[in-house]
Amino acid sequence: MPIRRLLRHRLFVTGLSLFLLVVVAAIAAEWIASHNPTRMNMRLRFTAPGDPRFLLGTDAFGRDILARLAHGAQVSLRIGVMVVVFTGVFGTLFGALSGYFRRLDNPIMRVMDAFMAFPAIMLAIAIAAALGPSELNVVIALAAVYTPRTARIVRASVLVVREAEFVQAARVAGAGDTRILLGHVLPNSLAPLIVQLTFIFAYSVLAEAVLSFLGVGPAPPTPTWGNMIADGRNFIREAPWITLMPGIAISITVLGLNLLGDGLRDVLDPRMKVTSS
Amino acid sequence: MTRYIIHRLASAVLVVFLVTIISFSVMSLVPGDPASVVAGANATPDEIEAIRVQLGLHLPYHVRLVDWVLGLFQGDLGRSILLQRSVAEAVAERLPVTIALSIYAMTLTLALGVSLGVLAAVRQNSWVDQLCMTVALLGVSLPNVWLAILFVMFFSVYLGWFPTGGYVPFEQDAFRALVALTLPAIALALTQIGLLARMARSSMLEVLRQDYVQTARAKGLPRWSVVGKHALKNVMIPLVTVFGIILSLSLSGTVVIETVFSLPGMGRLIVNAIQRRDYPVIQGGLLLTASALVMVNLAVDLLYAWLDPRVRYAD
Amino acid sequence: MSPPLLEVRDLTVRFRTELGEMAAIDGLSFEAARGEFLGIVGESGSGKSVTARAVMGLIQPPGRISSGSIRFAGEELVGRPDAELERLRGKRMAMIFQEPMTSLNPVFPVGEQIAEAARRHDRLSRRAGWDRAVEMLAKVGIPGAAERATAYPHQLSGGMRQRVMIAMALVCSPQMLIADEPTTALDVTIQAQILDLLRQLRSELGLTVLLITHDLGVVAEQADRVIVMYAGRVVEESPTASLFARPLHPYTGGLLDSIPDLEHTVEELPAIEGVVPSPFALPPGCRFAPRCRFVEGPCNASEPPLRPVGGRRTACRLDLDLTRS
Repeated sequence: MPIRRLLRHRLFVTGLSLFLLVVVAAIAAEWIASHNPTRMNMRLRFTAPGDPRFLLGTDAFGRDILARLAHGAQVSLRIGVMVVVFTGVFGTLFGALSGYFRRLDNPIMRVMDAFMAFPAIMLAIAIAAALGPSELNVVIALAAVYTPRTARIVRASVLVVREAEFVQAARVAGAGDTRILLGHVLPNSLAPLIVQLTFIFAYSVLAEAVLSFLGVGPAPPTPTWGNMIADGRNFIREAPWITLMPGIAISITVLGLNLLGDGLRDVLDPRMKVTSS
Repeated sequence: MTRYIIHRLASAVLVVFLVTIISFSVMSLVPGDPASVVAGANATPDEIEAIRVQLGLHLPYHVRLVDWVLGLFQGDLGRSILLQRSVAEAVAERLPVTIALSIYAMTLTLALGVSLGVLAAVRQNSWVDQLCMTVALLGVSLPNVWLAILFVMFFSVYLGWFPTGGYVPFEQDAFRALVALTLPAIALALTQIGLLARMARSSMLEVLRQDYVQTARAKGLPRWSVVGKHALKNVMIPLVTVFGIILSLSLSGTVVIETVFSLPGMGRLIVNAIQRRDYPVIQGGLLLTASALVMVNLAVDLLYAWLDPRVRYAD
Repeated sequence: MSPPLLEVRDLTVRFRTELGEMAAIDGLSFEAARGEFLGIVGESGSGKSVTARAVMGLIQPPGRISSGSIRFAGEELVGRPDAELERLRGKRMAMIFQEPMTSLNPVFPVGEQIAEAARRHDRLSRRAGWDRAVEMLAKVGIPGAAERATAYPHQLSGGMRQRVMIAMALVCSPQMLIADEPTTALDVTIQAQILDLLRQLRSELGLTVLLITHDLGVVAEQADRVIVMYAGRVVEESPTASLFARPLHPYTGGLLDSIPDLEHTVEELPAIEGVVPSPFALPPGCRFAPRCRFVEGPCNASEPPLRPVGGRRTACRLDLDLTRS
C-alpha cells in the first residue's frame, strides 16, 4: 500500500503535520480564540503579542490577531478545498475528453492554451474584480485560472494510458468509450492529478493573500490572511506583528502542502518532474 | 522541422485570437449594470446613461467585440476612462518599468535557480543539497506580498540600504535605477528561483544517471567538465521550454511587487484599472500581456527545436 | 615472461542498498597479459560489468572497492585519487559500452565527442583534435568520415554508433580496451562486423582487450582466454579452445549447452534451471550448487576454492568429464 510508504516518507509526514496543524486551528477556531475576530476595541489597539488576553497581540482596531488567524484559516482552507474540487472536476473533464477523443483535442486544448497565456494572478484579479469581492468569486477566479493547467496534466496521462495494453484489451473485449474512460483510463491517470491538486491547493492559499491584498478578495472586515497583511502594512513600524503573523500562517500552510505534494509525487508518481503553473 | 514551425505558428495565431476574445469578455462578467459600477454610487441616472454611451455599453456584446477588434487592427486599443488618454499611450509609458524589473528578476532567477539546482544535484543528499532545496522550498512557499513588505521594512526602513520604493529612469541615472530595482527584483525572483532550482535539480539528477555521463567519465574528463559540459547542456535544453512559464509567473508577481514598491509599471497600471473598473485599460493590458507571452512561448519552442539536434534534424 | 598488464587480486566491490550492504564481486582475481584478448563471461548479476567499472575506476557511491588490488602496468590503482585516475582513463585504458545509442551524448556532434579526449590527454589544439577524430572515424571503417564527424548520434545507425564509440575509446592509443557487451544491442550481421573490427584493431595496435559478454558464442572466435564468472566470483579460467572442448565447471558446461548452433533450434536448447542467487541469500557452500546437476553433499558444506587443473583453474571440487563432441 502506498499509504505505508507515504508514512515512512519523512518530508511527507512533516508536511502532513504542518497542514493538520492549520486544519485543527481552523476547526477549533471558536475554542482557540475566545474573542470575536471582527470585534473592535480601540482602547486595546496595538497590544503586543504575549499579553495574556491576546496571545498574538491585537491589530490597529484592537481585534484579536489569534482569533483572526484561526478564522482566516477557515477562509483559506474553504477556498483551497473549493478550488481543488472545481479544478479537479473540470480539469479532469476537459483533460479526459481532450486526451481520449482526438477530434476534441485541438479545440479544447487551444482554449485551455488561451487561458494559460495570461499570467495566472493577473487573470484571476481581473475575473475576481469583475465578479465582485466575495469568497465564492475568488474560488471561481482561481478555478478558471488553474483548470486549464490541470486539464493539460490529465490529458498527458490519458494519452499514455489510452495506448496501454489493458485498455486495448478492454476495447477488444467490446467495452464502450464511456466504460473504458471511467473504468480504465481515469483511474490510471489519477496519481499525477492528485499531486497537481495538492500544489493547486498551495497556490490557492498564496493567491488568496494576493487577491485580498489587492482588494479583490473577500471584503473586509472578513478575517482573511491576505486582508490581515494588507491591514498591517500601514503599521509595520509600530506593530510589525500584525503583518508578521498572517504571513507565518500562510507560509506554514503552503510549506505543508508543498511537502505533501512532493511526498505524494515521490511515492505515487516517481517519474514526474517538478510541475509548475 | 518546417512542418513543426508551421503547426506551431498556426496554433499561436489561434491562441492569440482566443486571448483577444477572453480579454474583451472579462468585463462582461460583471453582474448587473457595468455603467453604474463605473459611475459610482452617487451618480445620477443621467450620468450613468452618459457613461453607458461613452463606453458603448448600449450596443450589443458582439457589436462591441467586433468594433474593438477592428480598432486593434488599426493599432487602437481604446481610451482609458480615468487617465484621459489612449490605452496605448498609458501602456507605452508604463512598459519600460516592467521590462526593466522583469529582466532584472529573470537574470537573478536564471543565474541562481540553475546554480542552486545543479549544485544540489551534484552534491545529492549532502548538507549542500539540503540547504539549496530548503531555500528553494521556502522560495515557493512564502507569500511574495508578505516577503516584499518585510524586505522594505528590514532593508529599506531598518538598514537603510535601499529606497523604500519608487522608480528612477535608467536614462536619468543608471546606477540609482539599478539600486532602486534591486529589492523589488529579489522579492519578485524568489518564487521563480525556488521553482527553477527544483526543476534543475531533478533534471540534472536524471541526466547524471544517463549512460553518456559514464562515457564522459570513462574518457578521463574531470568531474567539473562532465557536469559543466556534457550534463549541463542536456539539462539546459529542456529548461529553455519553461522560460515562458517562469516569465508568466514573474509577470504575475509584478502585479504585487509594483504595488508594494510603488513602481509605475504595467502590473500597477492593470491593478489600478481593475480596482477602478477602467475597462479599456484592463482589456488592453490583458491582451498585450497575454499576446506577448504567447509570442515568447512560440519563440522559446522554436529555440528549443533548434537547440535540440534530435528535433532540428528530424523530418 | 613479462609481467601482466593488468593484475586484479582479491578484489571486492560492495554496494550499499536499502536491504543492507552486498558484495557485487567478492574476492576476484585474474590477470591479462600485454596484447591478450581476454573474454569475461557470465549472466547478468555475475558481477562482470562491475569488474569492468572497477578496473576503470568508475565505481561510485553507493558502491565502493572495499578490499583488494588492481595493478595496471605495475601501478596500483585502488586508492588513487580521482584526478590521477582521470589521466589514465581514456589515455592508457579505455572502455566501450553496451548501448551505443545512450552512451553517446545526444547534443554534441560525434566528432566533438571523439576529439574531446584527444584535446584533453594529448594537448591537441581544437583543429588538430578534430582532424584526429576524423582520422579515427576513417580507421574504424566509417565512410565519408570528415562529413560524418559533424553528425549527431541519432543520425547514425546502431553499428555506426558503436564504431564511433570504438573510435572515441582508441583516439589516444590506449594499451587496454574494455568492451562491455559491445554487440548485445546490435543485429547479428553488425555484431560480426564489430567483432571483426575489434580483432583487427587489436592486432594492428597491440591492444589488450577485455571483452565482457553473457554470450560464449561471442568470445569463441575472439578470445585467447576466457574467465567465467558466477555470483561475483571466478568459477573457471581457461584458454578458449580447451574451455570449449572440455569445460571443467558444470556452470560453463551449462552455458555451452545453451549456445544455439545450426543443428538445434532455439526451442530445444537446454537452459540452466534457476537464477543467479541473490547476493543477500548466498548458499553456504558452492554458489552454483542450487542449480547444479552434479551436486553432492560436500558441495553445500563449504565454498570450494579456485584450484589449478593443468594450466587452467576451476572452482568445482569434482573432477567431471564434460567433454563435448
